[in-house]
Amino acid sequence: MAPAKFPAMRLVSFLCGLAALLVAVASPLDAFASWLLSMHMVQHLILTMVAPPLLLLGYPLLPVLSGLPRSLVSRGLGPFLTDPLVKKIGGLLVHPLVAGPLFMLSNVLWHIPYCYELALGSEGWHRAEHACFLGTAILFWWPVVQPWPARPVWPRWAMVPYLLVVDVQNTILSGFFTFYDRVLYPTYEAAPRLMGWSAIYDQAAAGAIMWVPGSIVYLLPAAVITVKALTSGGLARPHRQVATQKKLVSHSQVSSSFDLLKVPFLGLIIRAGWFRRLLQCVMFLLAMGVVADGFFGPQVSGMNLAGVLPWTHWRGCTVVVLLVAGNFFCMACPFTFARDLGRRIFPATRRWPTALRSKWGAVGLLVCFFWAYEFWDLWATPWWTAAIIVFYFAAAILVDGMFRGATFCKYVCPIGQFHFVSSLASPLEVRVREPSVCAECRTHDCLNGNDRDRGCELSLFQPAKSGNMDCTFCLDCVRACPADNVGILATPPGRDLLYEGKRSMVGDFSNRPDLAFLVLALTFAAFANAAGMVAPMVAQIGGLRESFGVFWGEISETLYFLGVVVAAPLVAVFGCGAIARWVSGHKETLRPIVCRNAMMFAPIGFSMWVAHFTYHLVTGFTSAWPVLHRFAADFGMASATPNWGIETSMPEWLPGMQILLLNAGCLFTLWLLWNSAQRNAGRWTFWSFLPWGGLAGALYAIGVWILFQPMEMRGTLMQ
Amino acid sequence: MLVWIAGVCVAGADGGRVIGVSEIDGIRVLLFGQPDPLRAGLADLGVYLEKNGTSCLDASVGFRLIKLSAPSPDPSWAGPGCLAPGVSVPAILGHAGNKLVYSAVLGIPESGIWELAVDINRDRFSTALFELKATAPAHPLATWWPLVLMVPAGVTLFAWRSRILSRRQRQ
Repeated sequence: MAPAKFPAMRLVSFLCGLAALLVAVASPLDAFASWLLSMHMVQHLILTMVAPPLLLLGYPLLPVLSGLPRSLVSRGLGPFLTDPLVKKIGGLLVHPLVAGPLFMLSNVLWHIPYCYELALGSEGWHRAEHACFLGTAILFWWPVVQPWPARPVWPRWAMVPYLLVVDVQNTILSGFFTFYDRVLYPTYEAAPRLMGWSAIYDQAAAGAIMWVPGSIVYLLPAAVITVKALTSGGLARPHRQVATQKKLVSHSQVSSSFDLLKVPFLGLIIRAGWFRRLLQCVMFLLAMGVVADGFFGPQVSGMNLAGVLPWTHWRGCTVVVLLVAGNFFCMACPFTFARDLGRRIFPATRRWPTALRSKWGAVGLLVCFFWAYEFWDLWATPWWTAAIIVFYFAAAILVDGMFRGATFCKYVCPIGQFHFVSSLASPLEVRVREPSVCAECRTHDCLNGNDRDRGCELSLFQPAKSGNMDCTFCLDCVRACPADNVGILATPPGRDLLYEGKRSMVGDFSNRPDLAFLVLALTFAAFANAAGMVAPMVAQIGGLRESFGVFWGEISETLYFLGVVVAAPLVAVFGCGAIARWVSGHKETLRPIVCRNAMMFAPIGFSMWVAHFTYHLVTGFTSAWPVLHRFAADFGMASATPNWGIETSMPEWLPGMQILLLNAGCLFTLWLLWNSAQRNAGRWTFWSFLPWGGLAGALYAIGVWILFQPMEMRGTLMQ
Repeated sequence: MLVWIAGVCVAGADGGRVIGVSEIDGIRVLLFGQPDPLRAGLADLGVYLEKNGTSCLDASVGFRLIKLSAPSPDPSWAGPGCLAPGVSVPAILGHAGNKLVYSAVLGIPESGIWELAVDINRDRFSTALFELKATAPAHPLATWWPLVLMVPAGVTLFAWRSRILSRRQRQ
């Protein structure tokens, strides 16, 4: 990347440019911008005359591109940066005949009283004004600085008149400010007069600032260019460099994949058997506390551990960990801990019936759970929450006490299915480090276990495993592998969704209708569950009970729920599949088309879950303290009365973050659907993609609508 | 770093415009408000206290909103969680970027005419009253449209990229 082009001064210049930006937008300059025009003027001068040339002098283009992920540069930005049309538009924007007038126009327009007052009265317009100043200033300074590898279009000397013309405009405008005898902007007339400056004096000072330092900034480079040109005799038109095809990225070495288990200290701890037991013990004790409080504590969800910890904290933390790491909550599962204890009594000798070896049973349980959650307001009834946890423990002990392996996790546990599907979009995966090592393995300890460690209880054979489906992150395979060839490796999120082939014990996604329906049910339930908490839907459901009476109201509520979580996804995906098959003239049967594409909705569904649960986690995070305090006080471990008035608040950034999450999920799903269509529909890619893309778009629109509605503050005392 | 800088740029026209001036017990009270004009929903209000030409920074200040006009069928969008700040909140120095202003975010529950009582406790307790007109609330899309536009923008860029690549393949 031509290191000679990047001495330390380039970096210093770029950092100074960033610092100048920071001073302009996040210092008292900004705070007093609506009180003193002179302050505001200094801010604008920094944005137009200081920060842009410093940033450009850092020659930031190639360093910035080198700092971005390689695949993003080569596959994402590369096509744009090398496209002739984009180059042409870019070249046009930084052409002196365009950049100069644009800069002057922006300066003059924003100083017209109407526009200036608009910016002072609205934060949005003020930001637009600053963006306009900064953007046009970068374009203006581009031909002057010529950040490498940009090529000059005009001879160097032409920059002198270019700068002088802009200086003339700057002088006229600043002269007007200085000598005009009336206050141009009424906002400053009404503002407090600091330092005893009158509004008209402040305006004249602003004009002087714009005039003198402003002119210096334009005249200084003009002088430098003139002197350089005269001394080197370089007044001639520069030779156009021969355009050479250069690769944007020149990394010679492929960066090694991140392995969590190779992180010093942390990796050792995570892989140790006792670490999982410790996590499980902690979760088990918490579960016991929740059960005890649920049965015997106050039956007000916001005051009970069973109303707060599972529904606000546990769910929120789970989705956050799934998003940023992987399925670590299955690793810490307290139910598995109980069933391991139970197995000391129950021998687990039978095999799970072949007819039940699919996800259909778990899907049924999941739908029942979601229905019960809405129908009986489980979150609001600590007793029911405790009962469900007890039932869960009993089921885990019973099923895994009778049947070998991790039957409960794989075929029964609804929470596990949620984690499996969500972890398809996780960035970490338990995977083989070096496939060639496995090729020589004859014992398959990762699957079969050995004298020391058990193998995978879900029968996932590591060399043939792909993705996180059915993986509980128990790390039995890691410990059992004699070659230490299994790690927790970084993986592009969603990679497995595009893999078309057989996976160990999971098979081909296009041949798994149970998995497809599991993903669909979770996706549609994500939207239904969030919608069930927003005011318009709560009113509508309440209206059903009022209109039809309690019994028929409840029946219609149930039908409504089943319609959304069961019927709607089926109708939607079969409809989309049929349309896609018809328009593309594809010979493939409908089932694999539907199964394959249904899996692609996992990211958008997961993003809705994350947006929803993080909302509860963030807004209700502090709600756990008084409840824990009360719980401790009940056992005589704390004396004072809990502070139930603890503040619960919604940060300003939360709705934006929720929308961003939904955006990411939607774009990811659209990208997966497009790739799937590209692989399977040939030249009919677009038409094959269209119905599926439309469905994802519709889900996104519904999601945005839900996020824009007021949502109940469940799990807190502010309902 | 650029993203971070953009993120910290939260102040904008910090404090907003002066929307009311009052004088009580020798203290000049200047009320700033955003958005301008005020709408039902979140409002950033601030007061600057001035006595004999110098700023008063040792008072404790509180805001109270009292509805003057009839109830409106036009409730504000309070955002996810119905968790707008109350109509009676303390105003503090340091909330805004401008540290001379006592400010707070209030939730104006609905449109109509409101009276804002600014309780000032310095040497003695006094209250300055301002009449505010809150117009109809803005739709949440008016606030969040740049984020919502990211999806169509992403799709457009992807389609453009695909077009570039397919054109290149044909060549």
